[in-house]
Amino acid sequence: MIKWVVIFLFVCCMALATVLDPEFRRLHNRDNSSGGALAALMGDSRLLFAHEFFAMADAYFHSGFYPTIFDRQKPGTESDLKEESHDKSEDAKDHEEETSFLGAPKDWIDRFGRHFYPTVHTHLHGGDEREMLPWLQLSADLDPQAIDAYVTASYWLRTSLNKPGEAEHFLRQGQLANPDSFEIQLELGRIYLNNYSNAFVARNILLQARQKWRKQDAAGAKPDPHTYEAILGEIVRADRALGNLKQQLADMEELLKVAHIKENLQRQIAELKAKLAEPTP
Amino acid sequence: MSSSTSWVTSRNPDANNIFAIAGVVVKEMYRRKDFYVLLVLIVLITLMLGSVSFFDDDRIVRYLKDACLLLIWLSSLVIAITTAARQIPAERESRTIYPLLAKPVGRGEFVAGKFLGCWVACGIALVGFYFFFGIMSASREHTLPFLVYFQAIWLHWMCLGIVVALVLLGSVVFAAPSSNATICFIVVLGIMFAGGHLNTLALQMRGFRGEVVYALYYAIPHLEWYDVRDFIIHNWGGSGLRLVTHNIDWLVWVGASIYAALYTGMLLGCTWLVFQRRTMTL
Amino acid sequence: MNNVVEIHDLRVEYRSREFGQRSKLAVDGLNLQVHSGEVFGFLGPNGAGKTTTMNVLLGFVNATSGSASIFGVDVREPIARQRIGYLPELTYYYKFLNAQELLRFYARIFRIPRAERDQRIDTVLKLVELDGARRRLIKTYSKGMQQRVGLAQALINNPDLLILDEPTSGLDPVGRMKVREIIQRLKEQGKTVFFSSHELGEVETVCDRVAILHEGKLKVEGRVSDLLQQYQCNLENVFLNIVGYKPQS
Repeated sequence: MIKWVVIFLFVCCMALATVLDPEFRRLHNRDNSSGGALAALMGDSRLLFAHEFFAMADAYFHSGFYPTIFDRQKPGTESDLKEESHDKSEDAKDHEEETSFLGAPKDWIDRFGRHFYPTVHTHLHGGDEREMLPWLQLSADLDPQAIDAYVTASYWLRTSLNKPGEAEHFLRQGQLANPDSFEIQLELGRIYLNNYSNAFVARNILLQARQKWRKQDAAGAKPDPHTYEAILGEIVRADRALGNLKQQLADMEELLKVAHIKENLQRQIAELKAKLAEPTP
Repeated sequence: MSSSTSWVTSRNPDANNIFAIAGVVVKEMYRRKDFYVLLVLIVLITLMLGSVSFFDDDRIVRYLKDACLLLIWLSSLVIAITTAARQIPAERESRTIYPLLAKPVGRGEFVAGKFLGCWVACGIALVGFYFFFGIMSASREHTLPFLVYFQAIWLHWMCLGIVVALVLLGSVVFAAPSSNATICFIVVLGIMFAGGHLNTLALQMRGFRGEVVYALYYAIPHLEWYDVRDFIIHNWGGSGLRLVTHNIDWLVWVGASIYAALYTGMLLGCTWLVFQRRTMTL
Repeated sequence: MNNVVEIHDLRVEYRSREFGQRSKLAVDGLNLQVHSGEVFGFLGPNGAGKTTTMNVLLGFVNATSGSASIFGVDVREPIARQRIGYLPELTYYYKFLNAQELLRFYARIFRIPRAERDQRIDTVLKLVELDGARRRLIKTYSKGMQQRVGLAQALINNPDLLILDEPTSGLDPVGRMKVREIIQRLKEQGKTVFFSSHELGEVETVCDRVAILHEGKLKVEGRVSDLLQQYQCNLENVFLNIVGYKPQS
């Protein structure tokens, strides 16, 4: 008898659940389609983890020589992973001084304690950059809107690890989650230009990047002007590769309007104008 | 009177009793399932993480080492804290402490035996954990920087010595083993996370509060020193051909060991003092 | 006659932990001698001070004043416990060990040489009739077996003095009989046995002398036969008489 009562109660519970579940979903503004498993499981805390994992990639880039949250409060200790990935020509010594977050030891415990964690500023090289990739992937998985994760991972994949296909695939994932991102578009254009040597497709992609940047600028979103300069620079490179001199001149003139260092560019424009002025044989 | 006690020699407060008590604790550890469960968990989680492919690159290994070492640290702390926290309360609860102390065993020897047992048990667990870690890392990196691993395991073990001593002190101060274990867990993790930065915080504070925090900074055991995972994860010990060779200075290693030994001794002394004053009523 | 246990003017006060509460006097000026080779029954109602006295003898509790010695050694010295065996009431021995391992552990504390240790373990396990269960984990033992393994650990060092705290407590009649037989055998071997019990019939059968404590004070001490003769009744009535129990009739 008890057995049948238990089964009956269980069936009642299930029946009630099927009725109540949609009501509760409506009440909490949740639906089955949005977010995915991670979002459902972790809520907004996943953004925190995503940020932490991106910082982890940066820590790996420096082989563990990395400021803790206590050190991060000091000036000059911002993540340099992204900047590093875009500007390798930066003077190493200046960079080291900039990120020497430790300062002089405050006491003997501090001095002694520094023997137990890396205190030498190094960067991964020679293919070891691959070690950062899991954290960047995780960061992107947890926060699909974390554009930096896509761009940074792509940079190392295409430059150090010779995996443009993987880079493109990852960027495409990022593009799906961030259709308006000009950064991802720029990175994608670079893959086509530098790794696939397909300047035609690269130019088209870069033009889309420029369009997206302008769209955001027009909307008052204040997009990063350095990235705009980089997009225009890459378009000029694509023009050069395609041998379309007129178009190159037009794009160079546009680049001149936003370029930080104009002298060299002005000289190149002058040279190009002179070349175009020459009578064709 | 019977003269049957021919083998009973004059009692000398020596290591014999300490080793005997420690032996029972070690036996308890390998007959309980905690260690095996944790080892299996570490192996399973690591293998699961290892099976994930990132960007079709099978040479990525550091995240795996990182995760495995994190699990090893957490597991070792769980073993150290739970084993040490239950020792004295369990002896009292089951009343085995009475026939034991009714034998020629001093309370100091009892505390020392319990400490040694827990510490050795943790050491055995560490060897098991790191053995798996070594195999896992060597199978991917094709190298085993033995010296750095040895330094790391030793420092880890010394750290657990301090933790065990701290928990034993807690077990004679706090009534319930669960509250002791919880408090010790929070304190140990707190020290490992923020202990080394209290000086920075103290310098940001002004006046008396800053001085108190600085005093605390000097007073706490600096457990964070003994966590040298970064050296292993990032191959500072010279794994492979391209990497920097950077062992922990042996003098520093000895210094850290002495610091741990002194701190452990001090905590055990406190435990003995408190335990000595405890009335053992049946 | 040699005195194995000597207690002089023993006074034990427990300080109350609660503020404003007076301290409790557990033992008040106790004088007692236990002679070599005798079975001594230590009797008294609950709260009389028996266990406190035993705690002092075992070094668990410090005396407020007075002195106690075992074999002439102050009980505060751990060496005083070298020649004693102690069986506490209802102890749950390490459940992850078997009887043999448990006895080996205790034997090690007494520094018994390995060869003699195994021989001694065999002897005590046979004595307490646990030889057949020596390799079974203690957690599988019945209550009676637990008590007998306790007795075995108390005997592992072949002690000259045995202190037994209610050794038959919680045992069935067969278990009680077995423990009683063991005490008799120990007596025959010339051991001194000092034990507390509420089983007065058992005490009357086994003991040479008894002491009755009431409210921390020694009320009577003497040979069982002398007391029975003096009061002209059995030990239970002697006890009730001494503690001032008057039946309502």
